Amino acid sequence: MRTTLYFIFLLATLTVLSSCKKKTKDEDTFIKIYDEPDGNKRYFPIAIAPSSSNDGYIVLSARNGWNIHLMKIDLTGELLWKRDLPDNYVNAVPSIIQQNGQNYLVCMDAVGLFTYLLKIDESIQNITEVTSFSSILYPTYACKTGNALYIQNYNRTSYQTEIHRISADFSSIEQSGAINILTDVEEKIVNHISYLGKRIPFSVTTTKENNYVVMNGFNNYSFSLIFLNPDLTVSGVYNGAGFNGGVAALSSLGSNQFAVAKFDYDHLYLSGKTPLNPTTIDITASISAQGNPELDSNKPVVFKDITVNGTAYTACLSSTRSNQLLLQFFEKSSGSLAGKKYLGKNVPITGNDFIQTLDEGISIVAQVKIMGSFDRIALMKLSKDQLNEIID
Amino acid sequence: MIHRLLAILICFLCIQSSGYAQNYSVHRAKKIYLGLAGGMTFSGAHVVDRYSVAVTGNPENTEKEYGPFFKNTGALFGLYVSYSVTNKIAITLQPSYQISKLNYINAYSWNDSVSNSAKNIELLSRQAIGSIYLPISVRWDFTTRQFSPFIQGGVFFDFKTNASKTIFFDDVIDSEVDVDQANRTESADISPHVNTFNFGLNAGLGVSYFTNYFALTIEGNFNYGFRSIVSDQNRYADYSGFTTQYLDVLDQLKLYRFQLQLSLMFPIDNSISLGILRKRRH
Repeated sequence: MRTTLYFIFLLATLTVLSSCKKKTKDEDTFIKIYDEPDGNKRYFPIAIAPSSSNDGYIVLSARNGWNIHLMKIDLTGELLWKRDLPDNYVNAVPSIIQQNGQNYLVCMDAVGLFTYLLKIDESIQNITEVTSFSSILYPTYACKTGNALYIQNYNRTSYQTEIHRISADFSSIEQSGAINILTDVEEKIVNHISYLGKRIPFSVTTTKENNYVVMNGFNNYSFSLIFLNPDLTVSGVYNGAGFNGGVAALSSLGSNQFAVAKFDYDHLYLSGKTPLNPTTIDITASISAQGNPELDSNKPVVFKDITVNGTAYTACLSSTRSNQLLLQFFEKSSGSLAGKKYLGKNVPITGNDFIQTLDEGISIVAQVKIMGSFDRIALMKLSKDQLNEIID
Repeated sequence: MIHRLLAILICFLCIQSSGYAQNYSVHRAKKIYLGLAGGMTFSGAHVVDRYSVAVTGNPENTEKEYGPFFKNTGALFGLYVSYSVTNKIAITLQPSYQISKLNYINAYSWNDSVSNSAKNIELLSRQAIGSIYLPISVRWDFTTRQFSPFIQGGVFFDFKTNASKTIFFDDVIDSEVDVDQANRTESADISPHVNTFNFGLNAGLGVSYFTNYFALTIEGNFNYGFRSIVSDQNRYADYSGFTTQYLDVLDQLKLYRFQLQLSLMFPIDNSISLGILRKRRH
């Protein structure tokens, strides 16, 4: 009898102890796929940013090719509102610009091909037109670093890749630069903005010291990585292997060190830290990086700075050939791999962008083909604890 | 069918009347019984919170429809241990391996007006959770006769050992999926999605037939688990591969079960004569 009572007491103690578990909140970790019954619609998410009121996220997507779709979701991934922009606004570049707590996007006029800068106004769940730049045709990328907004575009008349620094109030062009392509690449540009075939990894960023503008674009019969001085004159270049090789993504680590992803036909190479000379003329094939045959070179690669448990890492999001996303964390000091995680299973999936959330997790926006049929927007949220588990 | 029921009833009456005819009383105080038990379980889910992967703007479109309680049949088998404190009151411990099953249906539909095509899919998700079930109950027999009805109540502890899931699907949305004809996935392990430990209350009633050398018990028990059975932390971890492929994620549930079991128990005693059955003096 006494033994039985002891046994019951032990079980009761175990019960209480096992009940004391840290509760997971709904916003800690989730997967959401934004679906609708209209099978005509195809979505390709291209950027995610915190909302201006920090109560959710803004997701920018392409709809049915070059049309634009906006949506706001709350911290648990539930949809707050969505908006298909009017058909005259097309070709949103894959970045959301943030200034003074507001979000902006850069896109193109469907007929005139010139550039718009639109403000995402959450109070009216719509956009308002801020500026249009009639001289900037075929915008391909936009980036705001510090106080400077840069817009990259293709000049179809002069066969040049152009870059423009926009004034702080977004009203005018302060400085422009141009790089000769020497051949017409308009067909490639049209396929890119129409989402036909592989998307071209255009990008603009600056070095950590803000002493160079680093641009990925067409140059001299190739797709190249171009270093520009602050006055937007060319400082150095790494030429791609024609249009079949080049840099897929890049992040400045400071002191001329960069995290780089480069592609060469259907091979993708990654390096968490490699030196690049901003004043050299070289080829992208000479950039030191390790090949990874499981990664799909036709899908985007994204580098961003992430903090896990107080330590800064360079996070890299890429997509594998076996329908998974690969999230890797590289040490900033050495560039070595600190941890990795595969996400997704069994469905075609393309990772397009990610951000670090206020609760120190990560939100990843991806395109998934649900039921093997419909291209939809997916959001994957990883919690802070899950990131801690990834890092060795 | 009627003849079969009549035959069972006649056997029952014969056994009971033979018990009365022999006029024995049961003296099992301080006796320990050890035996085997087996039976069926019927499981049901109390939905605490609903979750879905698909966000459509209309939450009702993605709600799951759970199968009726009596259709979620599983099994249990294990041991029966009891210690009779008095002739009418006993403490029982019935460790067993138990399989609890849960089913739910949901459906999705798309219409493509450009290509004039529609796609429908109706999904029947079947979960099977295996666990070591450990109920500790106090049993009160109403009589000391050989045929003794009883009630019992107590607590239980449940330790999950394994969990699996299979999805059957067809393309007709009619709130039912014929598992014999529908397509199906492979059975996937969902153990990381299910919490390991649960506890709760159980209560039941039954009837035992005592002889000098064994006892046979038929009983029905109902139990309700207090802890939620799905891991909040791992809900979206997609260990099964079904989350993005079939837009499937488990709701937060509490489990209740009804168990129907038959037990065969043997008294444990060192004396030569057990003396459990003794002639009634009056």
